[in-house]
Amino acid sequence: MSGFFDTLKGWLLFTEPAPREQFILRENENEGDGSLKNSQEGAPKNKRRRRQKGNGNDAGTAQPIGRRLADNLNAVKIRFNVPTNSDVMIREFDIVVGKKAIAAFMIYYDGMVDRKVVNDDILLPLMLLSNLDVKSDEARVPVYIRSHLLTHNQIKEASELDQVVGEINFGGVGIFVDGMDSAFTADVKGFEHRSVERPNTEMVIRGPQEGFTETIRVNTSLIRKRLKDEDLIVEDVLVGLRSKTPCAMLYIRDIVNDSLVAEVRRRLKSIQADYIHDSGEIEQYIEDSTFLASPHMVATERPDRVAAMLTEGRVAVIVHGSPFALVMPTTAFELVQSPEDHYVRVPSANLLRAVRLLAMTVALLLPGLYIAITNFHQGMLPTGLLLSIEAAREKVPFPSIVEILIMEISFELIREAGIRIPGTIGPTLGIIGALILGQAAVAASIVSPILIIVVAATGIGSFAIPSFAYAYSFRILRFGYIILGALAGFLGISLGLFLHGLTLVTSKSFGVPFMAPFAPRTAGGLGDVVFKEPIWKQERRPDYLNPKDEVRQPKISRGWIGRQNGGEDQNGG
Amino acid sequence: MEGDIVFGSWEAIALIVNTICARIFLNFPRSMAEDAGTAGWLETVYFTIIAFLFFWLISRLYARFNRQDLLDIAELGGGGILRVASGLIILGVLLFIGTIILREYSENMMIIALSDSPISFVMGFFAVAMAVAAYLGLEGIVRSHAIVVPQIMLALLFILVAVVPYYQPTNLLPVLGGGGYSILGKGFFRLSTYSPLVYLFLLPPFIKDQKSFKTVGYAALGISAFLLLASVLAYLLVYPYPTQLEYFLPVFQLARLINYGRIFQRVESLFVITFAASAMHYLSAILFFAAHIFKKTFKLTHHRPLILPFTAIMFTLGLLPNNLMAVIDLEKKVSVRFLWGTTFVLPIILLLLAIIRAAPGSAPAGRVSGTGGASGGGRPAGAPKRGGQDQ
Amino acid sequence: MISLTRILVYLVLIGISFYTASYGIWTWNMKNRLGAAMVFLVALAVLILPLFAFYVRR
Repeated sequence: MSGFFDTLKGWLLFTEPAPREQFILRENENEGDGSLKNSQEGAPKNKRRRRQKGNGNDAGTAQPIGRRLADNLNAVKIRFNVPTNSDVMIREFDIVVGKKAIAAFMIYYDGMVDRKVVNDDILLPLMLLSNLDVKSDEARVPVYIRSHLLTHNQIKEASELDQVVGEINFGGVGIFVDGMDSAFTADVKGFEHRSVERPNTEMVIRGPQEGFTETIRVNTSLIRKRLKDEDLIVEDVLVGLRSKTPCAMLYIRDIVNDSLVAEVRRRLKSIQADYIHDSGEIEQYIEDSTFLASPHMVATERPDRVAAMLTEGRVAVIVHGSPFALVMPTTAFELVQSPEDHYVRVPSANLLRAVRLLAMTVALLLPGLYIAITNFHQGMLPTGLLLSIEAAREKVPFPSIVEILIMEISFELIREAGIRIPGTIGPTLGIIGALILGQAAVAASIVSPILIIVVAATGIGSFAIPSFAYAYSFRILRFGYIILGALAGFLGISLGLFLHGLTLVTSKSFGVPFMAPFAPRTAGGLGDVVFKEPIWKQERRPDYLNPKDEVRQPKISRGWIGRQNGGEDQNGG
Repeated sequence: MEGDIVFGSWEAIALIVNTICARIFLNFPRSMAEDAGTAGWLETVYFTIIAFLFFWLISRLYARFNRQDLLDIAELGGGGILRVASGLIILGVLLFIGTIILREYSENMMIIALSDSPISFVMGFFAVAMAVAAYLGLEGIVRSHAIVVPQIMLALLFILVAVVPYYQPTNLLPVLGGGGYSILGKGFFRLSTYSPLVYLFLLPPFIKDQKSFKTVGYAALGISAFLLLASVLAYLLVYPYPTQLEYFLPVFQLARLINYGRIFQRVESLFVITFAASAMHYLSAILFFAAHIFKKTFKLTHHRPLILPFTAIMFTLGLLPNNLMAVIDLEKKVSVRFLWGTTFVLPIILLLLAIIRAAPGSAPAGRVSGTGGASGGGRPAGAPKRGGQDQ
Repeated sequence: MISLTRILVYLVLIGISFYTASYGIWTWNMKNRLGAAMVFLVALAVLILPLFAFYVRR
């Protein structure tokens, strides 16, 4: 009851709105510049009362590693809940250095490591090869072990227990040696993972057929092999206080606006959540507006798309455990672009885009327009068509709004059910459901045949939208347009379009207006917004990203034009 | 707020053009025919020239005041008293125009499409649109204008061009129509058609510099003049003089004539979308500026709490006239006679007072001084580049 | 007899007027007396004008 009164009080009494600092993507801000609006500091301190868990980004509980092996063994057993935690393996062994046998142990998760690598590159050299007569002046054991015994290619030395725990949790191995106040960690990941396959959601006919997997390093390597640029930065961030989900921020340092990078980093590091399972959750934590129907960033399975967007000056976030990478910022126009647009020729690409625009319009407006025309603006229809529609609707007992809501909801039910039905039956169910339901409904005079066409066209239109998140927004808003069309015809549709347009133009994605470059108008950059210019004319990066380097290619990028030698003497000049 | 929002010239032009040209969808061509008969187009040319002259004078006087709107200038010229007085005048004008327009658009919508609906139901749609838009702020309103207004203009031009087969040049005879007084005398008061230009004098804090102010003014006047003239000419060419006086919605009547084959006919229903879009944008701008002017006049800190009350006031006042005739009559008696004064005479008086009394460029006490996003040396994403590269 | 719609509309208007008046009180506390007075006037207008319109149109 008190909650109700509080809500009522909130509506009836004026309270000064809390100042909310809005991120504005300014031109060419360098990191560390005091004029940046947003703080450059890392994650705020964790104020939770229960046991503090370090997430690798901050200090965490700084438990140093002691010299006594027994103490270290005890500490890791407590930390990893041994023997309750049955997949934690502890292997004790001796390392012979000179004439001394030094006790040691290693700890790892069974199933997370590559056993062959552990055996060949860790245990074998430490246990057997340490007996070899290695000539060295090195007297210090840690340095000797690191420089001459451990043959693994990724060895780190950690002085705090948290660092070792973090590595072990992600498929590494921890090696503790008696008498050392540090431990070695090695990256020996060997957990099962899906191989690189075709992307499931963004299939193209022309273009690469690789998609991301759930493994972060596989994904970053897929991008690195496309962008062989040493300025491509892969910055690791751990998100999730318990899950410590490894994430990577990718950007090209000499193109991207530094304040954008700082803002993405700030938002990622400030997430105070226990577990992060997927990039979809990260998206919900860092997006500007929770309730806007349209997404604020591109979620894609395609490494080629991520690479292309990075070269424009955007930032990508890859999350371990998710095959979808997030790229930000984005505008409404990028959400309807398909990667295939860039691989096919200009006439084909523009045809595809025109079809997609039509599909969007149909998906959003067709049911609402149908209701508006049949209820309020019958004069718009040619007489023959009008008579045909009326004849079809003659036996239907429901008003058209009820009719259309029945069919739209049925279509949504079929669509949702089709996702969950296993494998081969799923598509079949979709077809049969649509056929039987639609046909039966028409035969029973519950709906008119023309409505089946309207609903089917609407559904097909929504499937033609490349971004499935954007398509979801259309599915939601479609119902609003249906109701508005039923209430007031074209006036209602106009109201819906006006309000929809307003929410889009006032939205921002990481400081970039969602309807850029049309509103606000920005200089140039219109070559690949609605329709596509030839690739050799796209000389500048999108202006609204305020990149450091605005020029993508020179004015004459096809050096062979007008030159006998094909322009090989200069770089496209 | 003023320090944070900056928008480009095209957005400002689109805003002014839509507010001036919204009249075309109501009864502007018919009013011209009523005043001067077949010389309605001459009357349009006449008062357009006067508007240009007035604007030239105002822009010359405005050159000394960078990014200061009328209220800032009033405060410079006469202190708080003049600021309050001019603020109240402008607010009264905006509320009056808003109420009239809201009622007129609703009545016309009922004529076109919703004849069985009560007037309050139709007005409710426009009221919701303008309240939401004003709440979302000026940035959203002008950006929406920037995208939608070109489409509205194109739709209008399409209608005017599609009825070319019906043009009869003899409908323009006699050339001088109702005579000298009709053109020159009544035409002078029709200067009120350009009364929405007053928004331009409220925009300087949001536009990047003084040069843009002039560009916006001349461009908006030029585009509006072209559209106004085209609409009047088309209407006069299509319908003979006695028939011209009969229709309440001239452009709608023109749209009804479009007939190309069996499928492409009766497209006047698409006119509804254009009409409604223009109306919603216009009304949202009026409501926002009313709240903004009130806030600035009385040095309030927030304009959002004023949006709903002003919407309610405009809605309620809009219900007062009995019918469309009463609204048109009221508009003729008040708007046409006096609004030109608010737009052209009041700014000149305020500017002259400010020039005489105050040093140029000084900001009055209490004004939020901001350079519109230029602080920190960075251009915000999407804001026009310095050096005039935006348009 | 006042219809249900009219009652609902009046309730909404009362709510708007209340909210506006609370903004007026907040403005008064911010020492802007003239502004607060004008805001109160607006709140009053929201309440009175509908009654006036109802009786005039009747």
